Amino acid sequence: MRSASWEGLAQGVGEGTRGKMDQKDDRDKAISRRDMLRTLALGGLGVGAAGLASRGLRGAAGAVSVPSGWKEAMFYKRLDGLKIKCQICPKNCVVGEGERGFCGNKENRGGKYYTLVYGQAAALNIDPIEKKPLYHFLPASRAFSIGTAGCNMDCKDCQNWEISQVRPEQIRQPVSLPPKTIVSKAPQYGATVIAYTYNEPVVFYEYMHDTAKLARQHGLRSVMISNGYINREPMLELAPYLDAVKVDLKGFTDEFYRKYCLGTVEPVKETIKRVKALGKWLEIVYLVVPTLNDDLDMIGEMAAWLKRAVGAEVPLHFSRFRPQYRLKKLPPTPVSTLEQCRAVARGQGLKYVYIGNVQPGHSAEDTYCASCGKVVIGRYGYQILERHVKPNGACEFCGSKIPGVWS
Amino acid sequence: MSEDGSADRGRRRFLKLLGLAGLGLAGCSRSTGENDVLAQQPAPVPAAERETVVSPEATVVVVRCAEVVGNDGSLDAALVEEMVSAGVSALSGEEDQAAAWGRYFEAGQRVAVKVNCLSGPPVATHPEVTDVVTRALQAAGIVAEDIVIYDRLTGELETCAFAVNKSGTGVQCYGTDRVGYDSAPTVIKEVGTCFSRIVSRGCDAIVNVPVLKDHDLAGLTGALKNHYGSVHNPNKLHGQPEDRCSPYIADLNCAELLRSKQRLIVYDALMVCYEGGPGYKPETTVPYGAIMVATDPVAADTVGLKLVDELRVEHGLEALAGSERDPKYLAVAGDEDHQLGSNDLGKIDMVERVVSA
Repeated sequence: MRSASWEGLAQGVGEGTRGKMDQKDDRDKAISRRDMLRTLALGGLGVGAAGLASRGLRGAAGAVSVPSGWKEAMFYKRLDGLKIKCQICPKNCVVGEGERGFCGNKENRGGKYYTLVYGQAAALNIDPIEKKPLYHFLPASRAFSIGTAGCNMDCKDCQNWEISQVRPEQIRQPVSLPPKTIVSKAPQYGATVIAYTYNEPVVFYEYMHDTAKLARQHGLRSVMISNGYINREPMLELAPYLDAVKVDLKGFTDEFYRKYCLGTVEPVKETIKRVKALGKWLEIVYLVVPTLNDDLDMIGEMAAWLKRAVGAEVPLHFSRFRPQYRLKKLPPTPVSTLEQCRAVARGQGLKYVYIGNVQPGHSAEDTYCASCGKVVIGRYGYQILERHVKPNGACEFCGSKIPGVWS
Repeated sequence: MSEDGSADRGRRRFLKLLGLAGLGLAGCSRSTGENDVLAQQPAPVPAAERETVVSPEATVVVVRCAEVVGNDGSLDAALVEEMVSAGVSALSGEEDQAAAWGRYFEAGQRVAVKVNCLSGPPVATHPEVTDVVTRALQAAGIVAEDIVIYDRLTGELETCAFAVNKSGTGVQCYGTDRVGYDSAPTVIKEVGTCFSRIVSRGCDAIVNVPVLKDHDLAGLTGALKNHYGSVHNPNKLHGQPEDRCSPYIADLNCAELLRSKQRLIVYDALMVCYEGGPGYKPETTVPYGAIMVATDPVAADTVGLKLVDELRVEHGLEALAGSERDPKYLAVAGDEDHQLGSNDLGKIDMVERVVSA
């Protein structure tokens, strides 16, 4: 596992390589990885395992000790016998004393539930917002992106499994990065957005919540890159501090979710509707896995449901699967399959449908005005080559409103 | 370098045992060096060619001693030794301990001893038990430096009074946090997990020294579930409450690494938690005073369940077997698809011995 230091992160977390970053951005603002790490270090941050490496802290009967750096979790309730029930996500884990929930980064000590990853980044990077992918949200902006250990699913194709599927102790060099530090450092790197990403941010809810709340006070935006597996109340509590949410819709059946993600689909669908209802900008990613979730009839059902549930203007990204983790024997998704999926989704009436994780230059990377059909945002990978959307969202050619957050 | 070079020999053995390459998922910030000796190990021998020393019978020897646990919770080390020896002798049919242990281990092997320190003392593997195990292994021709007592975290071992030893000299004792996990997952049925490098690369054989506890999710934690501490993501192997950790416990133990390497189970049932586990509950933990020895982990856990249920009934609680908390993983572990051992008490040869002070 590559450490959370700058040097290995961009290539280590699997959202795309550094090579795909915007060269134009690099010429405009030469922020080196080394500068990032040096600045963070000068800021008093070093490698910090925060006592996680040693859990030998159980005393004699009745004595409960908690390592420094652990913070009491939000949204759980105490049960009899020192058990707790976590209520952050639909797993609703019932956790015995001394045990952890499914996510692996929260632990019950003496009947109190603690997050072990508050302020502990396992991955951090400055990413173009297009990498999330968010195509209709502040194009070309930079996102100060963080992730921790843990996840509330176990997707067999996880590209970030080396942090999502491990416990915090297994992160070699977590970086101590409290919310106030993120908020102070992000602007120094030209980042106007903070992205909670890489692993599933719902499992570092407390860290995300506090950072997003502080970020809002300092004029920074926050985006949650999520599998959508979050309960209603935590989502309502968090929403005021978020500006956009990208939801990974992994499949469209419970069977797929159970078998390949250890989850269920209905809570994800509920989150999608909820995010829309809360007025947050929403984009959807559907990772197309050959033979597993690429049935075009099901794609059509999914697209039709999206249109009914959240409207025809929600951007939908069909992303190309590459062999990963526990699905190494399947081939990468043929680009033609992605194109077919896109055609089916557009046939169902969705207006902004993209394909991603393919060789840059595909026409389906661009944003087209739904009225006049012209390219309003031309992309090459994560690079913005041309932009014809006014700050108020109007198409420069015909004046029609392009949905999104443009300023 | 020392005069006799012993430190160097120790260091070489240490590196050989660990094969530290600095890669993988080591959580410890200490440098693990570049000498990936373990990466150079020969490919594992396919199962068909391997000579088995596992007893084909489902025999579980239960050795009890009323005096082994003192009123203050301390253990009589001599009685512990007598119990373990009696158990292995009864199982192997050999009175001489070197011969008895030699039935399961071969001179020159590297042996890992998996303990259970999760809940801390007193419901953790006792060092007095592993002391006997490691002495017996040495008597059977295993070099001290080729023995490693391990669990998930070094700190947990320390909390349970194990003498952590990473020096390369003498019996080694440390957590997987010292050496990390495999960098790629092993997939076995529904389980995808990275094994501790101690298991995958650092040993040829395993002695499983579990404890016996009620478990609020699985029903029971014993020999089979002890290997949750041998992998990187045990939290992913519990499932929903209704799953009761099944089929994950059974699936995990189907890993060829475990099937082929685990040779003996020395069950530490000196203190047993019959309700409210896996955490320590003083009100439902008793000095049971037993050591169980077996080669069949399913049979061992089946007998363990019997003992826990006897305690539960004795204390006015419903037995786990047949209840909604029945450890269903036992049925799965013994089914056609897994064939990890015998879960039928009627077919298990339960041999009882008593040791007196």
